[in-house]
Amino acid sequence: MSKDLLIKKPIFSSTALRDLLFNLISRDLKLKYQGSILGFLWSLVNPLMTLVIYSWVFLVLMKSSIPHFPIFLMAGILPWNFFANATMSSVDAFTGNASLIKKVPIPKTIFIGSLIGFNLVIFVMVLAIVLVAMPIFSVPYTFRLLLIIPGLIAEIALLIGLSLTVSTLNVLFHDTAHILEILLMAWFWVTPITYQMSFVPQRFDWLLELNPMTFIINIFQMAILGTGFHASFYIGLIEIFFVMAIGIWLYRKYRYDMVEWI
Amino acid sequence: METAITVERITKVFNLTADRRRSLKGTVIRFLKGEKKAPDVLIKPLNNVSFSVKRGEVVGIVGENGVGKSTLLKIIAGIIKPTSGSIVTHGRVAGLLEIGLGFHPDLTGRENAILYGSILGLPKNQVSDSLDKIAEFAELESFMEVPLKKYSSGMQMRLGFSVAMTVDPDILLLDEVFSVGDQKFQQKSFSRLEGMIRDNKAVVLVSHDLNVMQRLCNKAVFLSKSGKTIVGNADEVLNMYDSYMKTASV
Repeated sequence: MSKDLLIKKPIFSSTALRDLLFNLISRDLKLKYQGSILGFLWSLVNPLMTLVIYSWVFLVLMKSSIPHFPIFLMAGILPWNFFANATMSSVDAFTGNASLIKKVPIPKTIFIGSLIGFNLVIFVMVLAIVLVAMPIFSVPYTFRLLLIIPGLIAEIALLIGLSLTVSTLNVLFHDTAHILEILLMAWFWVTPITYQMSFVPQRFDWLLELNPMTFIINIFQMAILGTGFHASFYIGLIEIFFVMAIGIWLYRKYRYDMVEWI
Repeated sequence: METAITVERITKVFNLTADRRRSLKGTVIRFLKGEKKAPDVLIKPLNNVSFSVKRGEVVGIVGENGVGKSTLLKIIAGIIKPTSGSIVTHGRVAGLLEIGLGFHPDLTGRENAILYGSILGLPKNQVSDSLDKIAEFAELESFMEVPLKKYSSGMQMRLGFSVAMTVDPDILLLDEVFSVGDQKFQQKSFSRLEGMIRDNKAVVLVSHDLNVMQRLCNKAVFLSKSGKTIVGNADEVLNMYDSYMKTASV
C-alpha cells in the first residue's frame, strides 16, 4: 500500500467541520423531538421509570442502606445511560452512513462525534433536572459538583475510544451489535451503580478495578453526593488511555479499506 | 499554468472475495474447524494511469462500464486510496459524485439545504446567506419550510443541485450530475454548471454523454478495457473513444 504518497489539503476547514458536527447533532435532536418540548419529556420517562422500579426493588425489597438512594441511583445511572446509548448507537456510525462515506470525502469520525454529542446533550438536560431536584431529597449543593466536569471529560475520552472500536468492528463483523448488547448488560452489573463499591467482597475488587466505568461513575457519585472515592485513580486513567489507543489504532488500520467494504 | 492535479501511475486492485463482512460467530467457527479463507478474486480497474490537470483545464474521463472512471474520481477526492501510485492535488477539492446526499425526508427543504451544504464542506453561514438564491434557482421559494417527503423527486434533485452549485472549490470533480429536473431546468442547470466549470478551476468529469463531453472538455482520458490509458486533446481522444465504441458494438 502506498502510505504517504497522498499529499492534499484537508477538504474541510475547521469551521466547516464544526458546522457539520453541529448540524448533524441538531438534525438528530430535531428528528427525535420534532421540535416540541413534549418530545424532551420522553427522554425523562426512561430514567424516571428506572428510578421508581429500582428504588422499590432496592429500598423496599432489599432494604438497601445507601443514603439518599434515589439521588445515588441517578448519579450512577445517568452517566451509565449516556455511556451505553452512545456506544450502542455508534456501532452503526460507519455502516449506517455508508452512502455518504462512499460518495463524499467526509471525515468519517464526524459521525462518531455527532452521536456522542447528541447523547451528551440529552445527558446534560436530564442531569440538570436531577441537580435541581437535589434539595428535595435533602442533598446539599457543594463545590464538589465541579467534579462533574472532569468526570464528563473522562467519560467522553472513554467513549471516543470505545465507539471507534465498535464502529470499526461492525464494519468487519456484522454481529457486533448483538455481542455488544449482551456485554453492556453484564457491564452494567459489574459497575457500582445500584450498589456501593464497599459492598463488594474484596476477592472481586479486581473485577471492578478492571472496569473503567467504575472509575467514571465513582467521580459522578462523589461530585453529586460526596460518596468516597473507592476506585483507583491511576488504574482508571490507564484503562481509558488503553481503550482510546485501541480505538484509534483500529480505526486508522481500516479507515480507507472500510470505504470499500461497507 | 499551475498544475492542480497530478495523477502518477495509479493502480487500483479490488478484492471481490464474497462476504467481506462476516459474522464474528462464523469467523470463530471457521477458525475452530480449520477452514481456509475463500480464494481472493482480484480485479484491476485502474492500471498505471497517469495524467495531470492544470487550472482552467476541463478533463473528461471516458471508458466502458467497469474501467474505473468513478473509482478514479474517488481516488482524486481522497475517498479511497490507490493500491499503488501517487496523487498530488493543490487547492480545495469538491466532489459532486451524487446530488442530494444525506437528505432526510422528515426535515424541511431549508434544514436539508443547510445540512447538505455542510456535508459538502460549506460553512454554515455561507449556506444560510445564499439560501434565498438557492431557493430561487431551484424554483422552490414557497416550499422551503415543507418537509422533504412532500417533495417530488424532481423537486428534491433541484434543491440538491442548487445547493451543490454554491461550492466554490479550486478542483471540481463531477460524476454524471448534468441532467436534473425537466427540460427547462436541465438547460438552466447545465449553463450554471458550465459557468462554474469555466471559472478557472481544474475540473475532472465523468459522463457517458459524448455531446456533453465534447462541449465542456479540452482534454480527455480514455480508460480502455485492455488496461491502456490514452490521454490527449479532447477532440482526438473522444473521437477515438466514439469509433472504438462503434466497432465494439457491431
